Amino acid sequence: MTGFASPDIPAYFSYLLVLLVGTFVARANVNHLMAGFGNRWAFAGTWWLFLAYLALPVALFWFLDYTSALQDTSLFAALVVAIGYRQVFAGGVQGITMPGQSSALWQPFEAWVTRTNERILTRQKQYKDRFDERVRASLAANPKRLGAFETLTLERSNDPAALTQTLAPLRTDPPPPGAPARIVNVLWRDLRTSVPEDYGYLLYRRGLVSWWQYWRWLEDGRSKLISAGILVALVALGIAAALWLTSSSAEGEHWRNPLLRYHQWRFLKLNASDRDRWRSREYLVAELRMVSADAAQAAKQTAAVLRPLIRELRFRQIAQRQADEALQLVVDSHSPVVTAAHMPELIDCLRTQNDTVRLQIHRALLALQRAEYAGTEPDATLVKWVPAKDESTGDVDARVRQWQQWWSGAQRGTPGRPTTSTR
Amino acid sequence: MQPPTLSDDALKVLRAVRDRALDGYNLMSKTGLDPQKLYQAISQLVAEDLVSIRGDLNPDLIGDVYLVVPPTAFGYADLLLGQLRFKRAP
Repeated sequence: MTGFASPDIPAYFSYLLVLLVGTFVARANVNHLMAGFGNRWAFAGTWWLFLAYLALPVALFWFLDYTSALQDTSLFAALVVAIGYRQVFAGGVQGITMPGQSSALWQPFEAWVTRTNERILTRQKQYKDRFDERVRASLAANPKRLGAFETLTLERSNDPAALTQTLAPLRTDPPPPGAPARIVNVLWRDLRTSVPEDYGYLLYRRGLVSWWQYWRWLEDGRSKLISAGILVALVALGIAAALWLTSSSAEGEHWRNPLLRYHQWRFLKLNASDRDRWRSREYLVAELRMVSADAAQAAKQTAAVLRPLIRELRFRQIAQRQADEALQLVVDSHSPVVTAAHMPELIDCLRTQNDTVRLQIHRALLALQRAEYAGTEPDATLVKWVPAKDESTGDVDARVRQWQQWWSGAQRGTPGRPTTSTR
Repeated sequence: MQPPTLSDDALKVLRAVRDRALDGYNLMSKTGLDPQKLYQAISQLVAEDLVSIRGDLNPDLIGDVYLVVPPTAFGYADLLLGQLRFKRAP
């Protein structure tokens, strides 16, 4: 799906889309899986199942992007994964192939779903039995209610004559031990067999169970109450998060930092689409253009934007493209305050073990020198230096110190002097 | 593997519970089976691991049992119900 034509949208929109569509799909899955389970949303296990079904497409989407099976900025890929993640696991979606044996992960997941389902079924049966028991006990304890219950059952019975005959031995004088409870049991089974769906409603209409009891146990009232409670809590959490994100601290609004981190991640992401990398680059450049004129504040703002990118240059196995992109950003965003803020760190990155990146950094330093410190020339040997593969650590250190010495001079506004340790 | 020979009553019950969990009372209403036949049908399905059951599997208390097809048996249940549809086609 990496080559699949699709609108390219920011990755956070893709993940949000997967989450939103995934919410409906997860709800439908849980409802289908537990169809017939009364009050199913009143169990913690159901919510765990829901969360698992919700997390699955999001995790799968990330994983498929990580393994480059698709791109997480593809609108269509997001929709396909959110709706058809089962088919993706089963290998039924052309263009999206699960790497290696990863599709086998579906089996343990399904086994866990089955176990959870079984546990919920057990609990649901327990609760239902307790409800039935309470209602039956209340009917048996009150002759008037028992009479009303008997009338209702006889009205609705499939075979009133047989029912009357079954009850006859329980109506002797004196009555047999436990007669009321046994009468209720006979009537209960008959009513439930005759009107299996609506017996609760009929009991409620005759005033044999309260509305609260009926609604809570037979109209999924517990489920509705708990779902509403969770929804209210989520809305409150969302509002609180929105208020916090839009509120300001000393460093600006709180949303700026997560957004900055997001764009730094996207900028360095190896398999990001060209458009996605361009979006992040534009964002980072805009951030660097907005730095304060105050040197201390500018240093802080520049460090927040560039330090994570410059730090990557020290990593020996950094991809060529990542180094190119990072250094191009550093050079393109030069300005007196920005360059001054990151120059020492960039010079120190020359110590990287990757000689190709060292050469790129050296060229970037020369470019910055020409752009911002043209009046302070570095030593001629340093300008001509071409980092080589077999260069010793000591030689590299000497070049670093040469650059540092130039930097000290540049800051004072005087030309750099060659050091004695240079070749 | 040879598919099991399920009785018509067992297949009726399986079809009824394939898409939603049901208790014994509802099953009797939907399938038209009496408690004894329902008990026999459920016993067959339990023996084939096609359903998961809660409550005592007893003809006298069959209305109180709860029956569900576990997710791991969905494929097997669909296969058996599909075969039935195929056999009955003219």
